[in-house]
Amino acid sequence: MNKNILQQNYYQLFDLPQSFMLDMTALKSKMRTLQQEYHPDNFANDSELSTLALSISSYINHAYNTLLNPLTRAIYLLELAKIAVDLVHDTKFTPEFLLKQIELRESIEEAESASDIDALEEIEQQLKDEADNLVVTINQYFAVQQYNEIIELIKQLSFYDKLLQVVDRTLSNL
Amino acid sequence: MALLQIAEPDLSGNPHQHNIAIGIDLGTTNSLVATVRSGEATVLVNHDGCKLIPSIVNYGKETQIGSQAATLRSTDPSNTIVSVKRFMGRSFADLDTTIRYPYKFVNSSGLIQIDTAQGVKNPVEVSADILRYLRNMAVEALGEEPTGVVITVPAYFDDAQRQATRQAGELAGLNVLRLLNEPTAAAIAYGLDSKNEGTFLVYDLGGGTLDVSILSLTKGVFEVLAVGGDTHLGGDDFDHRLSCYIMEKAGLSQLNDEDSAILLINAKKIKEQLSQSEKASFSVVLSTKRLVNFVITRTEYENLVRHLVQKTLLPVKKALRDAKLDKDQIDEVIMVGGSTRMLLVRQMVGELFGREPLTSINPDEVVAIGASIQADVLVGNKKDDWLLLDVTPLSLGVETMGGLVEKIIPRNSTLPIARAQDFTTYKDGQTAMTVHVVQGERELVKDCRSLAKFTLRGIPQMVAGQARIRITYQIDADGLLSVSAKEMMTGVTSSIEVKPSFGLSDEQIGAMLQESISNANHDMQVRLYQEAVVDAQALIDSVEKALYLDADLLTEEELSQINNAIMKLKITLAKAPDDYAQLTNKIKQQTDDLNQISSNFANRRMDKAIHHALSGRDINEVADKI
Repeated sequence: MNKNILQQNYYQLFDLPQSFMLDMTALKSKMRTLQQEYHPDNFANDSELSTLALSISSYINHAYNTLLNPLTRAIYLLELAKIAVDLVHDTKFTPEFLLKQIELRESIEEAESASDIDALEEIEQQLKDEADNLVVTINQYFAVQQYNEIIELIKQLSFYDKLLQVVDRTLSNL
Repeated sequence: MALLQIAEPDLSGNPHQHNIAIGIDLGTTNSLVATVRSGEATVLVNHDGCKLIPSIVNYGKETQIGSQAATLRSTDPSNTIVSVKRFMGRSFADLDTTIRYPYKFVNSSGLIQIDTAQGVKNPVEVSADILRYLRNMAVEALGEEPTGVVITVPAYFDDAQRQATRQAGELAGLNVLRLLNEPTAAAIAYGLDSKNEGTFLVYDLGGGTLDVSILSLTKGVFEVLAVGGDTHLGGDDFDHRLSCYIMEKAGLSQLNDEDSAILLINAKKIKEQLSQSEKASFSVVLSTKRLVNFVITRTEYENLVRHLVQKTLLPVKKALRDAKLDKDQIDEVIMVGGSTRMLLVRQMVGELFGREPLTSINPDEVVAIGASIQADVLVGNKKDDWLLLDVTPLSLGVETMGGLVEKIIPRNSTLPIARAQDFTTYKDGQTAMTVHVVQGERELVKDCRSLAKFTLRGIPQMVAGQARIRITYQIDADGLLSVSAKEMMTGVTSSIEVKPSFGLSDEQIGAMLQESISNANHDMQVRLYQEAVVDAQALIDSVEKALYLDADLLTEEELSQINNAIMKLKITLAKAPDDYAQLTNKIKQQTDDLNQISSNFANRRMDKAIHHALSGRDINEVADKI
């Protein structure tokens, strides 16, 4: 078993070019190939190897999830470029953006208290569209390595990510 | 350990030797064992020719298991344990008080135990007895001890329930290769049967629970995309609804236990008959000599329970959401569990997906069959290998300020998975911190299941915020959690590891932590000494702080006893160590003494704190003071 796999970055691990645009089909199929090799079930009768396999297999899953989601993928790419993103403390936004977020939250709460599933699904679609637009723009900035702009967009994308989670939870509970 | 008694598989013999692998469906009502023989999965039978072994154990004069135990249910109810699966990994406080059990329950430091004619038994031991019976069935049928076994568990089982199941397997002398989720096992049975690629939805409706899983099979990899369900919805609810209807029709009210049971049994029979015929009836004499005649048509019955079937479709829709799939992206729907024999269930599930659900494999056997196929792969018998990627059914989190849960690993994450979290101290000189790990989807700790609470001690004294402690949560392929904590400081790195088991006391977990401490750089004895010093100091600090706040809760005599014990310990701590082991023992002894002497004091403070909390004080404020 190749222990060095734990030293590889996520792109090296899946043998994919280090870019924001990603071939999702290739990512999925590489993940499966790697898991077929390293999943602890392959070593069910060998406790030492299966312990090592457990950490490698966990690493593969974590790497996969990170690259699968555009938000975590963008943050990871910046990390590789030694640029830190502080989503917790960096909360500077334009007033327009904040206002829009407040409006969105209010409309979610309104739909929730009215148990209006159609309205929530509509909001969900709207949020997804907005997030998709951000991802397209992030991709353009990655092409020209404009990292400051990317950080601003990542902050916005994480807002949409959170809102989507809220809507998802609300819909699940209704 | 029972595990050591297993004979090694004979490696010296024929290199192409076939390893015997079995799959066990350890069910609430019935259990089954299956194996793969010449490429074909078969359910094994016992000497009476039965496949379905009632999950019942009688601890009378002798231990009886299965149908023999079932016959003793009415004559010896207090020693005849049924549905032990409901007690696995549960605490005494979890016991459903609305159900009248015939057992003598024993509360063993929070865990459920049952007093029988053969002494006190815990659920793990009872399950182990069932597993041992199944193992013997396999040995009789196959003429050999199985090399490895896969045991199935409901997908919604939490960590404690999984740990308990694994322990039962080991106690029965089995080499448990894997715990497998029941719906996943069913999908394996169908998926590999039809050699299909695609996306499957498994709808598993048992007597008491509904389990839903969505899986995809692509190029030899089975990937679970989402799991969900309802732990309080199953065939029993249908019987209950019907028996209420019978009472209504017959003008009965307020039945005694015996008559309620009679009606329920008949309701169940009627439900089963209506899966075959358009009309069903019964007539029975109650204990009150009252004769009940009852006739019902299938349509009438279906109108009665339609809302219940409707309710089962909600978790199905939720699982689809979680898997981010539309219902027309599901290629096959698989039906599992005895309750899916109901025609209305098949019909309504079929309508939702616009296709006929798969029912070709016996719904009682399909789980055991899938488990045996997976076991066969794990022992290395299968040439065209395939892999199973399962997910965690419940989110994992830790307690944060104010009793809130911070999610660390979200539900439906592919296994295995590891997540690390860094903590720091919030007080100068803080030497210990408590980590509380919970499982569940709710936002408050009290609404989730507590998995482990342990105190990490021995953090070197530093300015607040300087120490860095990394805690790693690892969930393995079985869905079992282990937590490790590492202090990361200049030069010194010590790590501890804990496999939490539900219901362990703090002392036990403390002992486990101590046992597993490993550090090659430091002399063991020096480290033990340092730890004893830190523990002693921590105890002195907390007792002194408590005395400062609440000395009025003590009599003068008690106060002087505590002060004496503190003084003794302080003197010992001040001594320069030459024989580490000896001094360590002395410190430990005196720490224990102080602990014992002050334990009443601690109890009284706890009462006081609870009293305060109940009278409307902020619970966090109280917790801080304890």
